[in-house]
Amino acid sequence: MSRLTDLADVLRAAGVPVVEVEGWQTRGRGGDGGQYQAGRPNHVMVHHTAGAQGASAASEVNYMVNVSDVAPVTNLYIARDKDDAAVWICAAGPTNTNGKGSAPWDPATKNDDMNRMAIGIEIGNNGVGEPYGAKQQETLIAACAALCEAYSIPVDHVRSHAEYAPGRKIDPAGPSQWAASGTWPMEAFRATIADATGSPAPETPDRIKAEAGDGGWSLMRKLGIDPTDDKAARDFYDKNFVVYQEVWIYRP
Amino acid sequence: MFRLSQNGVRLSSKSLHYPEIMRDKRTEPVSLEELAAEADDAYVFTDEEDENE
Repeated sequence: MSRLTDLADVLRAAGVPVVEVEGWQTRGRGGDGGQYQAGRPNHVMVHHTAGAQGASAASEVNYMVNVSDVAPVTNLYIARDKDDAAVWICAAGPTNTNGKGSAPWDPATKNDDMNRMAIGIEIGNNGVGEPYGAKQQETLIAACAALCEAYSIPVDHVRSHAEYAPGRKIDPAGPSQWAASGTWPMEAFRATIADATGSPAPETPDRIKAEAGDGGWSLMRKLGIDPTDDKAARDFYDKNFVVYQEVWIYRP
Repeated sequence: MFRLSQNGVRLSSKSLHYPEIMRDKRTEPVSLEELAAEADDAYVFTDEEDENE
């Protein structure tokens, strides 16, 4: 059993601005004594707050630490550019960030158990069109990469609320370097984190999805399918992809 | 022609740079009282989750 009491050091070493919230070192959700069990955390879960556009960091963090009936709601909060895109450290133990869902990419994670498995990150954003700040995105990338390296979390386990609870959650969503609108394509996000950590991008079905970034043409050619053949292309997509939030999702 | 341009998947391979702004500006923890005092009472958070076990 443990808490991540070195979070501030880890994030400062990554060069990101850090704000510590009083008591973060001993804060955690109920159960397991507010601590992670051995071998955990093994995920980083990314969210947006869905708070009002332009809300202050103080307002959002205050809610997640002081006001919510299920506080703490997150481990880390990433502020908007107007608040220096700082990482606010809220809790060193597990938090009530993820709720009910499933992790088909990791059979070791039981349904509805992600709160006990993950470091939760809430990004300040309304999720319905508010652009993510350039500095805010840089902070997010640096923070995720630092967490993966410090706690030996595979980049493939950097996941979104939408991946864990599809149909119920859309976050993170909104204009960013990964999406013009709507839910972020997380395989592209993970490729960015892999770049930042210097590790190869995950060799998973998501990697194949990433390779489909040109509309699937290169992937079809690799599989011997002529992408200019309308019927063949449609059959390929019908068989291998579903559309969710206007994004093609690879269906292994 | 079957339109494949709906595909929202994009890759970013740009190098990452950490600008000067990314420096720790505060070394003292923010107190819970300070947080509450600075917060907007009308703030609404909607990424709420149940405390499931």
